[in-house]
Amino acid sequence: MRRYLVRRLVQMVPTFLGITLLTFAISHLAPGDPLQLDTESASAAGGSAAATAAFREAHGLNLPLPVQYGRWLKKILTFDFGRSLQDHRLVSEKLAEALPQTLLLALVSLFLAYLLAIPIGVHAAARPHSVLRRGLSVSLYLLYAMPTFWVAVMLLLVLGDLFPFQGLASEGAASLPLPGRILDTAWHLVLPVFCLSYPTLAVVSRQVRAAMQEALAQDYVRAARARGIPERSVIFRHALRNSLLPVVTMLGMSLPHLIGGSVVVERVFGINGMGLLAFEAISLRDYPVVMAICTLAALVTMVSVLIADLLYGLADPRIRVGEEA
Amino acid sequence: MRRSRLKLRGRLALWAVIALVLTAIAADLLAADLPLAVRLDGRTHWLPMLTRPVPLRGATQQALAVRAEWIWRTPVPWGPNQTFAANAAVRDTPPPWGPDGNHWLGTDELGRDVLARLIHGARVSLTVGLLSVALCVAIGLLLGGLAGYYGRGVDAVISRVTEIMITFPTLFFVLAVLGLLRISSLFPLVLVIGFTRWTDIARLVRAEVLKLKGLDFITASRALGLSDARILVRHLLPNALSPVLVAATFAVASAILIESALSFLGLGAPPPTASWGELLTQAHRYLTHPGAWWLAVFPGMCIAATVLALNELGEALRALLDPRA
Repeated sequence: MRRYLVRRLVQMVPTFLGITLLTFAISHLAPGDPLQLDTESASAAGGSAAATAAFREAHGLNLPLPVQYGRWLKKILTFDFGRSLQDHRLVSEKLAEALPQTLLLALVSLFLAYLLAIPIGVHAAARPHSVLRRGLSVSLYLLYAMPTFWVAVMLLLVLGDLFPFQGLASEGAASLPLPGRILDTAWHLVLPVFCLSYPTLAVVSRQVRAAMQEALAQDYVRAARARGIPERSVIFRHALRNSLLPVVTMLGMSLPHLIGGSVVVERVFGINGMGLLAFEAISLRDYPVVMAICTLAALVTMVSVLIADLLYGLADPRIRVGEEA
Repeated sequence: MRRSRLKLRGRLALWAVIALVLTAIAADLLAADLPLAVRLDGRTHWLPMLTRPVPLRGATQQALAVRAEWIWRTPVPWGPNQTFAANAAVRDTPPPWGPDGNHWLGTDELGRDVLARLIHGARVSLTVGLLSVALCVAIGLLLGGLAGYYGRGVDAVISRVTEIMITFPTLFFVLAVLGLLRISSLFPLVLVIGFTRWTDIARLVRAEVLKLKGLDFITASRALGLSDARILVRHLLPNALSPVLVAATFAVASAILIESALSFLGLGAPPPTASWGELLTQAHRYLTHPGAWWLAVFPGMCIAATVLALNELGEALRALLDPRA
């Protein structure tokens, strides 16, 4: 197991370098100079040639690109992403403000999606002919084809009177007692969480169903039934345990979808999270912020895929053997 | 048992996709500001919306219907970019107007006919979907084929590159590239989606080539002295095509979803190009006052129906081509 872990960690190094290189390349291939966008410094400099040169010097913009990349890489290893071109605040500070909202949204969605997907999938495999199963499968299948932003807009259109439109907290919510604040946030979370979780729910429940169907057709299940073990126990103790493995791996792959989805959901519901921050930074060409979020998003995904793979390897020795062979 | 024909649901989906493609191709004949044919001042103009003859400049079907000796109108008598100012429509309230006898699915905020924009929007969706997936397939076949055939170093490098692309959340990446480069046109959009979404196909091709290259017919080709390139292109890749076809069908659906999300965020097709996502942006803007539900319902249904049809087609193709399913 340790050898597998070391191998995976070593493999992550070139991937991480590639990610940073790609991020750096995108933001430096773009036309225009940060100076043109950095309104505050530009006006402070008065637009004179000497001041411009001084600014370029100070920010290392006149160095060759590989050197600039090296400097940037060295900085981000200590989580120093520089300052936003927009308001001159530290990028790390802006990220720290936005992260909790996105994290809350993503984790609640992920948790709910898996919490519902597993029983739905198991039920679908165990009772393939029930009316409930058919209804659920069809509605999830239809939902899966609908774009998140459409569902979000439709929900606001239909339920906009019931649920709040914007943000994660009502005005003046900070003065409420704690239970009231939690309730207020939960109320705000209902629609965004639904939008963010239904695609994952649809995919994962299908996966669980497929894995369960395969497990239920195996000999050991027939043997368990032949021994007179109750059906409930056969399904949950024998088949489900073996079907959960591929589902664990999907946990790692769900994250990039959630991060991508958060851009749209946060924009529709006006939540000041990473997605909205990224969108605004992109529209304003705030390079340091965009680069930081891109790197961070990729890093989080990479680590979660690694954790999922490790869990998988821990649970199923065949994977490790296969990797090392 | 292998079925040699698509299942009923798959056939329905295929017809739906064909209908959509035909709609996109014939969009100018279905919805236009000028009629299919008109006789004016003793001269007959055929398909004036394509030829744009001088005497008809600035005219509309509505105005021509009064002046012309004879007219053959298009099924939807509005062009996608025909605003209410051009129609000289007399109404008490400013647009968007709800569905009525003139505009069957209502108009957008500039008084442009929603149905006409939906018909022309099919063009954008399908162009982006099909072209970007063609690019994905090309890249996927090339890289997946090379990785599978040569293995070792080539495989390691290509696998790392694939991993880097998987790690970036797609929507995020596409958004950053298009936003930072300030590109707002269809062709770059196709390129960016194509260059980010090839990973699934590359992995499929690699696995397929790995499986095939140990088979006798490849050994025989090698014994005959065929070059690597010839073995790969003429013998290996054609045999790996059927899983690629299935994956490509799903990829078209996902590319259409990405395009509509980008248009929704304002980074898709440049205005005034009609696209499904752009109408939903307006729906989001007009959620409360006056509550333009028709701007949300119809475009969303178009996207969802297209994605659903493509997913169904993919499933049916899989059932047809994969003997295990």
